[in-house]
Amino acid sequence: MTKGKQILRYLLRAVGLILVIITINFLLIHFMPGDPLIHILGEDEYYTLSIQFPEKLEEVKAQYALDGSLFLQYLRYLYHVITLQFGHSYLDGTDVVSTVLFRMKWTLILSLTAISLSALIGGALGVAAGYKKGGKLDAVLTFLALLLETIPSNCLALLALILFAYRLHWFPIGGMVSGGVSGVERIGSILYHMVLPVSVLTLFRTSSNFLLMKSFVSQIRDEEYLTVAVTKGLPSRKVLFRHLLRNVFVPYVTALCVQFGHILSGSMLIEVVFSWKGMGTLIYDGVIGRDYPTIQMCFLIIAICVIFFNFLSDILCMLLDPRIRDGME
Amino acid sequence: MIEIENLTIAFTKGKPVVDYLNLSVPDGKRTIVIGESGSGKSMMLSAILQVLPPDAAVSGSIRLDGLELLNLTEKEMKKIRGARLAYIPQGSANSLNPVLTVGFQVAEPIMEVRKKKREEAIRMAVDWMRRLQLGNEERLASAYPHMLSGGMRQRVLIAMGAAAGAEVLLADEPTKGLDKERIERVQDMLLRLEGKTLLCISHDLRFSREIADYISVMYAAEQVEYCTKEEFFRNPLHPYSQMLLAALPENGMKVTAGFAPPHGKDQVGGCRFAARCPGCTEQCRRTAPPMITVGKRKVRCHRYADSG
Repeated sequence: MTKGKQILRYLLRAVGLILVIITINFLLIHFMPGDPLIHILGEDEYYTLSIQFPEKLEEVKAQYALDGSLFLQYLRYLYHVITLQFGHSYLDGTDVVSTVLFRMKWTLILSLTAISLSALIGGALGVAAGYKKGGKLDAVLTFLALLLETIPSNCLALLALILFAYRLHWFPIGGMVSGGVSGVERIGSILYHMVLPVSVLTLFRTSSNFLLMKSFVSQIRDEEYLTVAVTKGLPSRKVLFRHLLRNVFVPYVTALCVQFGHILSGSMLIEVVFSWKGMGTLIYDGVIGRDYPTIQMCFLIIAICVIFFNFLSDILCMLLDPRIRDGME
Repeated sequence: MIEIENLTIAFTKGKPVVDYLNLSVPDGKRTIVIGESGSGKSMMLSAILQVLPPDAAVSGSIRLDGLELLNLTEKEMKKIRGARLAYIPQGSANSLNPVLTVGFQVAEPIMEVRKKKREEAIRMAVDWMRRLQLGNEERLASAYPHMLSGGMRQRVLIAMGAAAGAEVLLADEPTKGLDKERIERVQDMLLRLEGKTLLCISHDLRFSREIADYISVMYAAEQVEYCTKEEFFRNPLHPYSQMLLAALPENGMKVTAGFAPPHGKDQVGGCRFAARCPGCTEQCRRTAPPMITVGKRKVRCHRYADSG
């Protein structure tokens, strides 16, 4: 199979998956218990209307496009998704698309930094520990990583908040930027607000990346071709970079792409703890308030993000490993 | 010339995998070490190349043209590997890096030892493979290992090992898992490397008969017989060698004693082969035989105590 053909196959699979997800996304939210009208109108108003003026309630339903059969609503939804109309929030009436895009930006600032930092740090430490498996560095780092893996991230986030923000006053207690600043000062303020959430996120991702990389490296280290590389008279540096790392990249890139797929949703708990107004808190508030339009767009974007990074990982693996290129597993 | 004296390799737990091995590999000749799995053959090659796992304890002496390899630092050893000692791994194992092209992997020793640039080294590798008649060399160079057949993989490994011009080649079962026709191609290729010193370990008696100058037989971590190929196939001295040859199909496939576990725990002091030996005596069970020189041959058996 040619490269182009295979990429096309991956692409078609991704698009098909997105369609399936749009459907599931629609159904899932409609099967959630609770009627959004209760939240829109308020409980008293809703029950007054439903008992005394049911026709008025129907009017409100139509106004929010909640009337008609499920299938009709689905078709309407499909049309709106394709034309990128996600409507207005049930909670505050703002345009969903612009809200989500705005929040997305803030989440990306947080999670891109954390994922990139942890991919590099965790990867490098994992290579060092896996190459000399059983050494001192391996023992210390593995202990720390396992310790971190057992603590829930929101718990550590709260501890960090109490210690560094509340007691020591080193960092702000929450938020993303101080009011009334602009230019370089504003960037500085954002960075200052980022320190705690990014650190906690990075710490967690680093520990899991470290464990992953370590196990990949220590597996490949025992392969016969590494001994063969040594018998050719190659210096350790070349054995490591040329022979070992190239083979480790394939599984590591796959694992990283899975993490990047969760770039928008993975930091929800941390965002809530640090009151970071990103996608995470948007979804959190949206789910609690039954804000259908907002969560539908959020879920859709997250799903597309996961599928996109899966697609990317397929392509990268194909470029990195000739066996995958030839359709072998 | 490789001289191995009293080589003992042991791991933290258990019996030595190689025990007081003595072997000399003459220059320009092909020496084949025969022995069953677990007799310590592969460990011997790893010891010569100094690529044993870190928990292996090695004692004795391995000299390459008089240079004691066991005393060298890792840095000094790096200059010997590839340049003077080349390794030809087993083709059936995962011996080629799956993500690098064949041409690059064959060129690698050339880049390292002869300090050539990548492109030039690959060109030299293609020429080298052409000289060894691997066939379709240009395409082969840009192929990846998973595209090759088992026989081709083995021949690539031979070319790769010998690419940098090392005088001594150490081959690990180059015919393992190959059919008759492919074994013949491997034989031809090794014969084409005439003039090199080859130390090859093998299970394959037929292959040994084709290419060997000298035969060394190992049993349970020690050498039991050493002689020329002609002598070995005409008149094997050690009972184990005799049994090996009797088990060949053309000699009637007479499998005499089956397969016993090598040197069981109850054998302390006696001949390691005693439990399987048809001519075993009281002396064999009590004392281990020394290596006895019979003419130009060597054999580890009490039967020949008087002939030395």
